[in-house]
Amino acid sequence: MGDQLDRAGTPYVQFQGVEVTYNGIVSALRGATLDVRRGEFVFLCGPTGSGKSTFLKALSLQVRPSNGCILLDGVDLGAVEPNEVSEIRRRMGVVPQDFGLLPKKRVWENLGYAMRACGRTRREVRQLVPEILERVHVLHKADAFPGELSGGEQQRVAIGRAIINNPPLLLADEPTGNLDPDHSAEVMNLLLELNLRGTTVLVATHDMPIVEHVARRVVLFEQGRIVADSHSPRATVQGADEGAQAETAEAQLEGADA
Amino acid sequence: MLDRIEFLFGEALVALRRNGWMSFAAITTVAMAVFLLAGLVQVYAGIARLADSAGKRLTVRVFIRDSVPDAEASALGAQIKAIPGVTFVRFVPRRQGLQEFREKNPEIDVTGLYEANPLPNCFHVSIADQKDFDSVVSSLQSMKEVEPNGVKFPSDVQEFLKEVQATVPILGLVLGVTMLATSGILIYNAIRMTVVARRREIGIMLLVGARRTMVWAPMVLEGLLQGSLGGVLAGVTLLTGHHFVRQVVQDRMGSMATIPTMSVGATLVGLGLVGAVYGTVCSVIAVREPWRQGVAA
Ligand SMILES: Nc1ncnc2c1ncn2[C@@H]1O[C@H](COP(=O)(O)OP(=O)(O)O)[C@@H](O)[C@H]1O
Ligand SMILES: [Mg+2]
Repeated sequence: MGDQLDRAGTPYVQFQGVEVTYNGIVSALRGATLDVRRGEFVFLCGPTGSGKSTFLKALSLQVRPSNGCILLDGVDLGAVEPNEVSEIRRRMGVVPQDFGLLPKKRVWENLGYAMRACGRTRREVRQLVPEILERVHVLHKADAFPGELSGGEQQRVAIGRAIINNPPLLLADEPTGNLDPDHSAEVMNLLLELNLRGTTVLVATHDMPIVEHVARRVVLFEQGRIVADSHSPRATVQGADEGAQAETAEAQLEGADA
Repeated sequence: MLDRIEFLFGEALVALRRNGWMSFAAITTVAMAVFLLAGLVQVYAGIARLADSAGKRLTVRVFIRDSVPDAEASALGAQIKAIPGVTFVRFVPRRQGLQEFREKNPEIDVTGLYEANPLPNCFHVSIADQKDFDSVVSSLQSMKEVEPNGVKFPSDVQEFLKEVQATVPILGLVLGVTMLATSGILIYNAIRMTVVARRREIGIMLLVGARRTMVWAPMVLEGLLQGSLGGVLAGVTLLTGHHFVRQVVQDRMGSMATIPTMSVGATLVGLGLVGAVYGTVCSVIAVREPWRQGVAA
């Protein structure tokens, strides 16, 4: 199924020599060029400060490139008018590194707000929110405030919110950043499942065990540049045996429990 | 459409409730500012009215020129009595005036003054009806036997009220400007806190695809609600204070002081509206701020 979409022609996401500078001083991206086809699952890897988050923020119009060009489904994001930004964003689910949950809204309201903001009715919210919460396994926390949740639960709520409008593109920044291996695997499975349904997924992470375990396309960032791109599935699986991986995870979990 | 409006109002109400202290601060600040302004207007109007009515009911003293012989002066009583509106006239000859002065100020030695009494002959003139006051005073002043500026309002209460009336505008202005500045600073801070607190929230809302109007409408509504609640709170405080002051004044001064009652409905609605406008303006400034800073690019 993924192969069919791969052959569909023009890239879905195109970065062409994108440069991003913060405050006119800090160069966060120094000419990033990358094509992502519809339906792909791509890991953006690299050390802290290498520009992964900035790449995702540029794609979700949170920062503007000082140079270069970003195309989403053939549309030049640099030419998007301010009043069209919300339209573009409704076509992508964003899972920010800090979850970005509204602290004064309950879990279900966080999802409901995203839906209502995108023009869905109250009836749709009532129907869909429990379904999504069930899918990300936080339905039992529906009435809690984000501050009352663990990091893993907040992460899952953030993912739930990102997929509430069924976006064709999902951007996740360090989704396993502060999760134990078990929960990391669970979150990753969720993202893979979405990808199987046709969602294009970009994940920024430096969680290399997960990357090796999942074995998808890996793009390596270093100091604002893309220095490597596996481009083909399983190219970076370096003897990562699934069983061994699971054992490690279990061992770590037991260690944490003790 | 109805669904939309319900959503916006729901958002505003929930935010109002959840923002707890911020809402409390905003509401009380608006209440304070509105109360001060409306209260000041009330108090000033009240004192002006009091001074006016009290002054016009009191006895007037009329000083006769020294050039008029004592006998002629005492005869003026009938002429004064004939002025329409005058109810009572008492002649106080200069000798009696000195006597009265000595009784009031026993510590001052006035024995030497009996030889060359510096006090003029004087009439105490009572006027019953306020509306005759001005015409009586001008009739008295126009008499050729009366000293230039020889019509005085000698009452202690009158003097006090005149003083109050003179200082209240200055005091009121100073107090009003100070309080206006203070409440301005309070509101500025409250709004700034809201902006800082909301900056992230606004960013998140826009990130999930909310339109700008969708984000700012509930916030402006929230400000409007806070403002009108503050205005109504100020109205309740003002009405209570007014009622209390009215009772005290009436107990102390009886029929002399006439403080009219305030309309409860008009006060609450009027001040609520003032607060609503205030709150709306403040929240519009608050929600505009993050966009001007380019946070929500
Ligand atoms: N808001 C910001 N203001 C200034 N500098 C920033 C900001 N965000 C990121 N940077 C800098 O840009 C560079 C890239 O950051 P980032 O994209 O967050 O990297 P990564 O996500 O790979 O850790 C780093 O040097 C970081 O310090
Ligand atoms: Mg990052």
